[in-house]
Amino acid sequence: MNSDKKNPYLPALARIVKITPETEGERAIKTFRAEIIDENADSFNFQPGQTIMVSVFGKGESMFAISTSPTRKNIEFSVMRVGRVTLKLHQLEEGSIIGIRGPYGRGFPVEDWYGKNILLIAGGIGMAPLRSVLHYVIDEREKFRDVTLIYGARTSKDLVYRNELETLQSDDINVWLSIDTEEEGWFKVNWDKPEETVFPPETRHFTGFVPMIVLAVKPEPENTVAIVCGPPVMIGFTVQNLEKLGFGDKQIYSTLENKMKCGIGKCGRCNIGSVYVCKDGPVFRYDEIRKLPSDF
Amino acid sequence: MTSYFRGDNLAENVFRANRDSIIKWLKNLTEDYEIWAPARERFEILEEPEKISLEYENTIIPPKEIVFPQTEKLMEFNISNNEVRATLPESRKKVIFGIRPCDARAIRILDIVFRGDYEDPYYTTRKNGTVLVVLTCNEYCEEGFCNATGGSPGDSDSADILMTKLDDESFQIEFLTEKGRELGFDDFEAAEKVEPELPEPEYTKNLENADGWLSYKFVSPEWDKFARKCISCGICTFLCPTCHCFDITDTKNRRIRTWDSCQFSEYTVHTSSHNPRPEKVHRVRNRVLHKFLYFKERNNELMCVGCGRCVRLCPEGIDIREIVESMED
Ligand SMILES: Cc1cc2nc3c(=O)[nH]c(=O)nc-3n(C[C@H](O)[C@H](O)[C@H](O)COP(=O)(O)OP(=O)(O)OC[C@H]3O[C@@H](n4cnc5c(N)ncnc54)[C@H](O)[C@@H]3O)c2cc1C
Ligand code: SF4
Ligand code: SF4
Ligand code: FES
Repeated sequence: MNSDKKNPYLPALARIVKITPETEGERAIKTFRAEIIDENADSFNFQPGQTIMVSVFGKGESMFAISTSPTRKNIEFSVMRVGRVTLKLHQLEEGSIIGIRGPYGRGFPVEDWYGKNILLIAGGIGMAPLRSVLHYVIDEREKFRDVTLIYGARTSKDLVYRNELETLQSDDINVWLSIDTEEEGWFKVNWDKPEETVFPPETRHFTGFVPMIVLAVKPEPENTVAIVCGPPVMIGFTVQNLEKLGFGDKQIYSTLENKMKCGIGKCGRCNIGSVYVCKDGPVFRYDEIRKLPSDF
Repeated sequence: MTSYFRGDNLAENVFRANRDSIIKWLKNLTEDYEIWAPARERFEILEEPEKISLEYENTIIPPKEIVFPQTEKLMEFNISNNEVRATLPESRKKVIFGIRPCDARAIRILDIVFRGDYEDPYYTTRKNGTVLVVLTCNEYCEEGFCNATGGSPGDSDSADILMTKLDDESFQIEFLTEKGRELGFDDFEAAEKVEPELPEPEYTKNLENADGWLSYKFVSPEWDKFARKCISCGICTFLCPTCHCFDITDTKNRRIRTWDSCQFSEYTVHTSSHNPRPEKVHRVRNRVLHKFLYFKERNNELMCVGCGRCVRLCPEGIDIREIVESMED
């Protein structure tokens, strides 16, 4: 059907080809790799940071960050189990059919970052959108200068993509992982004065909140862009600490998350002032975020 | 069919008709068009042209539901066979007969929302080919303030055909667009155009540039004074001719969309229970600013046409004009 092709609400059929359990517990996270199998679908091209609306037919739709880079030629997304659609997704097996529409929104301006140092900072499931930049940077490594990742979760078992991240050092990427509560082998930052933390140079694992780790490892602001994704509180404190280190608003990028239904600027609910997060975001530079009214 | 017209000069597309010839016209049109006309509280498909009302008070439910129904099916699926099928509405030639100028303007606003990038085929299938026969208002309706939002009781801007009641016996009928001219009718008498006198408005303030002062008023103690009374019933949004927010939900084998309202806290709440607009004051503010500031920032047009429904029908007597006015320094 020809007219169907132009129907922005009609998802393309896709098959789940791989499921990777990432974390366990009540809010478990799994990563899905999907392949579009719909003959009527347009080719799927996306930017790091863009999102997709995933359908579990009969249950509903949910928005997810695409958690890999277009350079990898496949579609991946990571899902935290929280409600109706995400629960059903977690029950699916490899080979199951879902629907995908998108990609949506404004992604990260990665090409503007060529020649710069890249500082990636994530908390919890916030690593999902950041992984799109991480994969891009790995695949186009020579286009960027120093690349640093600081990523934290509640415990070592809650770190998403843990195995993958542990091997990044070999891609010439500085990685610091952190957890909120003490575990053996995780170096505890100076809780009262994180900036005064003295740690052995080979330290890769910290106990401490992400904003503290930022102060402990003191990334250089010069010629650097910082990309911060995670829970709103973590983003707020991290940005404060980046400012202490000399970062300006225009060097910091983040993503916003408002409830979404249509993804295409029509259903209304994702607005912050006159901005629709689905269409105009989810990626924003921090000076843009500061100008928004506080509806998020 | 355009043979009734002597030329492109607008003045020559003006006719005079009485009630009987209008009824005949409507009977004629029913052959090719689905005719929607005002019934008791909403527009309905006209079954008996003899009963047409040509001086009705505006309907409670706005005619937006003809092009954007309260509930509609978007698609059907058969999960076991992995079949997903869009269920576009049947495309039918329609006339919205007797729509008031404010509601016609509101449909133009819906056009902005549903066309643009990501054109909405459900809306456009219903809307394309729809002819708007606008009936001007000889009096302001209760709480109507179209004049304050850039419209007027005689506004022809969004009309394909404009009907004006001149006296008890006669109506002036102007065919304004090509789409409208296709509805031309032999029995109408060509006539000189008369400029009917517009009624005097009760409300005389102009709110067209309210965005100027509202853009500084996101934080203001005034919001709470009005929001305190609100009971979050959603009437002001459901019955607003320009409100277009919707929800999408699945049942076992279909996906449907339904009108939704920014006045409900569920509208924005995340699964995590975080809510960007948890309090009434945030939601009332969002409605007012969307109408008078946000939409204008995006589309250079107000999203309120001054139909007065939200003022007339709010059970708590909340008046959007008062809110907007109170923000001006
Ligand atoms: C831009 C963006 C990117 C996101 N990326 C990810 C990601 O990479 N991984 C991940 O696990 N989650 C992500 N989310 C959150 C995810 O969309 C919600 O957790 C999910 O929709 C919850 O759906 P549910 O049916 O399981 O929960 P329910 O509580 O049953 O939710 C009902 C419906 O409400 C809506 N909804 C509820 N919470 C949210 C929310 N926080 N954001 C948007 N819509 C919501 C959805 O339409 C959902 O289907 C993202 C959200 C946005 C807006
Ligand atoms: S906001 Fe009120 S007055 Fe304005 S168009 Fe909507 S219902 Fe009518
Ligand atoms: S109609 Fe009145 S009471 Fe109901 S939601 Fe709107 S402002 Fe609140
Ligand atoms: S999700 Fe519908 S407008 Fe953004």
